Amino acid sequence: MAISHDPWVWAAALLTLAIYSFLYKDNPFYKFAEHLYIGVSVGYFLYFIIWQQIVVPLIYDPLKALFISPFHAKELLIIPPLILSIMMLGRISPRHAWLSRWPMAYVMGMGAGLAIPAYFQTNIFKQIEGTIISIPPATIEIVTTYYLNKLLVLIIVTCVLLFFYFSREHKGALGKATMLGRWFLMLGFGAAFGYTVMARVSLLIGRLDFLLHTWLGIH
Amino acid sequence: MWQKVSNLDRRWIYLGVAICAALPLILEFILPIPATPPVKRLFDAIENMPPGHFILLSMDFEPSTMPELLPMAYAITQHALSRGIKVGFMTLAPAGPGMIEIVLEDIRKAYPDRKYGEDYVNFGYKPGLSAVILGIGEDIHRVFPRDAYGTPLEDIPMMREIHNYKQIDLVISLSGAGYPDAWLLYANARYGQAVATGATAVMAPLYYAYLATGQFVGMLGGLKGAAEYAELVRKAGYMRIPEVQHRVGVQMSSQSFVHIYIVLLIIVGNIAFFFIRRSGGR
Amino acid sequence: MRRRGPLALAFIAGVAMIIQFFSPHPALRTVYNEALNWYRIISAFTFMLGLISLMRSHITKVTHKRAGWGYSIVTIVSFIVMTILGFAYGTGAGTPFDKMYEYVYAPLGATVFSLLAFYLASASFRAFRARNIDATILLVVAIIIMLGRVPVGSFIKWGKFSLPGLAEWIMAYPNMAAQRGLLIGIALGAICMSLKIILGIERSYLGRGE
Repeated sequence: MAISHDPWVWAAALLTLAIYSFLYKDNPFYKFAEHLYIGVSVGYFLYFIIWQQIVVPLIYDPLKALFISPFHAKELLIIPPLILSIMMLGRISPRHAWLSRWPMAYVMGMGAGLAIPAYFQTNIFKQIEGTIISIPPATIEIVTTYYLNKLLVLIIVTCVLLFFYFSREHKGALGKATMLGRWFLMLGFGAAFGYTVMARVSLLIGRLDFLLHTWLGIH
Repeated sequence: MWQKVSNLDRRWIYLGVAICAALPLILEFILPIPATPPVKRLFDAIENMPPGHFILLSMDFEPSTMPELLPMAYAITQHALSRGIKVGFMTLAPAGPGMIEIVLEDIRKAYPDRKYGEDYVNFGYKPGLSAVILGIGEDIHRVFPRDAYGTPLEDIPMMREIHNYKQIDLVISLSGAGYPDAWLLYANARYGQAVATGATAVMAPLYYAYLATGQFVGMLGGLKGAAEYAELVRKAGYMRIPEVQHRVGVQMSSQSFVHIYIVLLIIVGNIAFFFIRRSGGR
Repeated sequence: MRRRGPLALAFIAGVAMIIQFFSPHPALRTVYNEALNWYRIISAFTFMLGLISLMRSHITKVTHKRAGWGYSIVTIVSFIVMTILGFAYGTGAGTPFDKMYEYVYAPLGATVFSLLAFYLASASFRAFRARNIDATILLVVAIIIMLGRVPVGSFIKWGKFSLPGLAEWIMAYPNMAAQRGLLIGIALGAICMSLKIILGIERSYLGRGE
């Protein structure tokens, strides 16, 4: 066992234990660590993201270039987005909040316009194509199993989509199909739950590994 | 008795989780980790790539998910650099640059034969998500005029020939949020860019749909995916940072114990539930 | 005008982006590139809003001495220290800013998220009940996946079949199909919402007031 002598490792270890102390009950050590986390992350955001990634490259550098060559079209084009960006800050004041509607509208409109063809292509056409078109790859050993699986997929996708169809009452044949759809959704959620457990446990194991291996040197 | 079991103080359950997780980490044993098809697909994609080609490794994650995703970054980087494939690092996550630096610090020591600017480059972080992904499709030099250290991209030898997705063979997004979806929506749908992902286990079940259609070339799912890929890299003889792979193997053993514990909790909880219900209790 | 102008802008921006997806015309491409650049700049400024809002709430807590105001001082002081370290020493490897990131920010972030593992275990014991068929399916599949996706699962075999093989089949086929149905449904919803934004039917982003 070789306990670390690095003061930073000790700081990280003690802060980790302060957070875990919440599992016993809420206490001042946990609250201190929690508020320290918020403060440090905001400081990180202010300097690294806002200053280094926004103010310098998007405001200072273009304005400097504009000052050097003020009638160059490329540099003049920086003015409209800068004006819109400053208008965004109007959201802070209730009296001037209406100014932020313009940049918000631009961002929302752009985002919506970019999303529509992208979602059609990625999440609808490709997914439907994957469901109904079946050409077994050369490496498939048992072709019948492949086609049975594909048929199962087609049935499940259809039943799940029918489950979300609320324009008609779910009874009769539709009722049976939607019941199957609900069961298959539960299957998907069960798989998702199993994976979620795996994910969260991995995070815990990562922290415990740090405490035991890096801090206490137990190995 | 079953009522007492059902009302067990949750702090005893927490203690059980901690013990089950800690014991294998102390005893340090590794169980076999065979690779699954989604992982093999990504491994084969890089294995079959000729040397000199370029992959963009987008480490779109923050410290909160680093136990699952950082080992993936190590394994993929070692695989690519060992095969002479050039790697561009970037991140769409605001706190992601630190994650890149953690990997590069070890890569610099383990790969003295690979030079920064010729074999790998760090673009750093750019805000904008979809705008960044779409921007790379037009001109990566416009999105990243400089690398993470302030060097103009035109002064970086390997970037003289990389301009957009036409010169990028594969984009791999390591993420615990919706970034791989964004890469598919904007890079793959619009530009036909090949995309793969290393996702946290929370996101992995959703991405099987994209894997089945070939939209994702391959996928690493959670810590298990990282362990499988690292094992493939080790078996192929590319591993130069074995400590990471060893830790991941030990952590997977710990994962086994905790999963067994949680399954037992579910079973015992349900048995208690049935007995209480049978005796007319609530 | 205060509402109509922005709605018109959203409409123009949205329609322009849809049209440019289908057109390789060089002029449209130039406009698209510039519009993207504007989008990058403006959306980056949204970070500032969140930051200002957060610090304002903590400063208000301190000045009005509301419950827990002492901890807000911790937040404000650590924020100031982190910012000063960045400006004074930069963010290179080994700098105090970098050390704070690696040994304070990163571990705290990872630890806060790892607490969920304990809560999941507790919830699994207390709430995960096979009350009906739906819950039973969810429970059984979850157990198969939890055991099949860890190394110890490979010791559970019967004949040609193994638990990891069953887990992988469940993920690759039934789970994939269910998730595909969800994906298609979510995509249809997202497209409807995007159309509503472009057409000005959805206006909540404009906020209240005239």
